[in-house]
Formats: sequence, structure tokens, C-alpha cells
Amino acid sequence: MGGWVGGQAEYVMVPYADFNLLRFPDKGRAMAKIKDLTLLSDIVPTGFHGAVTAGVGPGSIVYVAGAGPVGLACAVGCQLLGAAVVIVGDMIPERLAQAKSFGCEVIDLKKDATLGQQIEQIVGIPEVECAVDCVGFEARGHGKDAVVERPATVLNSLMTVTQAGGRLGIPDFM
Amino acid sequence: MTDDPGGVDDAAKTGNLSIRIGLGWAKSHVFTTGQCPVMRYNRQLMHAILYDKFHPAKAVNVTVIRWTKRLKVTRISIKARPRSSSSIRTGWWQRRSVSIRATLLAFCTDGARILCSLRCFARRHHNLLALSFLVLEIARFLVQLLCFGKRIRGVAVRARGPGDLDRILRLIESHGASYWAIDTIGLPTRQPAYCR
Repeated sequence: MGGWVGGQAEYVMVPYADFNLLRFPDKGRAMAKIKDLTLLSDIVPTGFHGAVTAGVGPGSIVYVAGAGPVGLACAVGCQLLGAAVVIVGDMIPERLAQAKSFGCEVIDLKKDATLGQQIEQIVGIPEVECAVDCVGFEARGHGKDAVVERPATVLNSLMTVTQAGGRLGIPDFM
Repeated sequence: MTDDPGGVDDAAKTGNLSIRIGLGWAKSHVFTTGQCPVMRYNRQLMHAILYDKFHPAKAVNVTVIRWTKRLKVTRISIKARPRSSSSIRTGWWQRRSVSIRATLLAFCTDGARILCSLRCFARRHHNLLALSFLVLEIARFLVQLLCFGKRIRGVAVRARGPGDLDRILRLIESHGASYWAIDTIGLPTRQPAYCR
């Protein structure tokens, strides 16, 4: 958050704590789910924000670019919002396996098939209703270009596969 | 803040993206970006978690590092002094003796500031070996300062999280150091430290 580093340590310094802290209603219940609740300080709201701003709702078909922590948080946020199909794209097999472990469809961006073709194999058409960019500036190309950094490639590919009138969420995570 | 000086093309260096905005216009896309308003979602997401409707930790594969159990906790005295200053001048990190440990524990002062500079360094160079070298150089300087200044109070490096602690210990060990002192978060520098 701005210049304040961290939020998942044993202790943190909270600026303006009288205003922006979230009080857990019951300590016992909170401690039982502290691993989940800890993520409220950072990646979960960010990923969820991406899903909300992409217009994810009940029955949506959504594509999440990037299966890092924010991307995975976004994917699980899409499920919470009722998405019918959550497709997650990444280049790292372990991340894709993690996304698959909680019910997402996955796309390996190292493959030479285009993003649209891979989406078509999953949902029958090469388009999704909404998409979320959880990659950021340090994006890489697709297929053969996977080793080359191409900052604009994610947004361009999202526009390509998102249907007309669709929404794109681009949450910020610094 | 929006720039990416290390970017691969000129547009990225100045925070610009070469996107096909015409495509977005033709398809009437709606783009939304900006920093997340965390407080807009916190309470609702908290309830979803507490009532078992939402399990993000499982989704992102959260692993808790219980770092205090991995360390031998030693109570130290701020009066500890080195037995021999010559051992410091000749490379304390190569020696394994109680006196050197006492020196280290007694010595370093502003750990938070040290770690801050280390982070900047690592981010710029992405070179952990350089980082470990910097850690040792700073520690050496602080130990030498103890020798001549006699005004040293606190403890070595202050880790801001388990990841920091683990990384620092690994780096120092890989460089051959036997002992180190790490202040825990929230403890004033005059309090006992964790020592390996």
C-alpha cells in the first residue's frame, strides 16, 4: 500500500489504523481461518476487484490472464461471484496445476495455438464474456514468443478474445 | 511510479502501452483499471470467509512459515563485547567462536534501515549474491564500528517477514557466516534477539 511494505507478517504497522482496520467479530473463528483472512490485506481484494470491474456475475465465462497470486485470487473471486467457467492462462505448469486444483479451466500460453483457439476448445467459441489482466507490465509473448517480453500483449490478446460489449478488468497491484 | 525504466521498449519505459485501442473501440469494450479500493470489499469478503463460502488461501496455496521454530532462540546481553578486536579486522565471518557471536549480537544498530536499502538493491539488480555480499559488508562495517565507537546497542538485521528472515539466513550461511542476529518485528532494539 503506497510506501508501506508488507501486510502478511506477524506484526505490521498500520497507518491511520483508527480508520482503516477491519475488526474481526470473533477472535476464535478468525484465528481458525487466519490464512484466508490474512489475504484480505492484499491479493484477494485486488483480484476480486479485477473480477468485479470485469463485470463477472452468475453464469459468466471469464478469462483470467496470469495465474500468479493475484490471478489465482481473481479466479477464486470469479467463482464466488458465480462465474460458470473460469479460464486461467499462464506459462508455468505448476501455476496452471494450482488453478486446476480448485476447478478452473487452464490454458498453457506456451503452446503455439492461439488464445482464441484454446478458448474455443474449452467453451466452443473463441470468445469470453469478460476478461481480467492479472499480469501487468512484465508480460511475455504467446507461443514461440513466450521468451520475449511484450508489455502490451496481454491487453491486446484480451481485447481479441473478449466478445463485443464485454468488459476488461485491469486491477492494479504494485 | 507509472514508468518502467527497465522496460523492453521505449513506450514501456515511459509507462505507455502499445495497445490496439482501435480494436477495443470497435468492439465497444469497457476497460476499468486503477488501484483496488480494498475497503470496498474487505467486510463482505471477510464474511464470505468466516461463513465458509470463500477459501482463497487454498486457491493460492498459502504456506505459513513458522520461522521461530526453525531458529534457536538465544537471550543475549547488550553488554556482550568481542574478546579480540583483531578477529574482527581479519574477517569475522570466517570464524566460529563465541566471542564473535557476542560481537555480532551486541553490535548492529539500525536494522530496519539496512533491510530497506537491501531491498532496493535487490530489486534493481535481481542478484542475490550481490545482496549477500552487501549484507556482509554492512555487518562488517557495523562490527568495526563497535570496536572503535563503543556506542552500539541493538541487533543486526530486522526482518519484516518470514521470507526476509529465511532469505537473509540462507544468504549469510551460503557465505560462510556461522552466527547472526535478527531482531524480531515489533521488538525494540534493546530487547533480546533471535540468534542462530
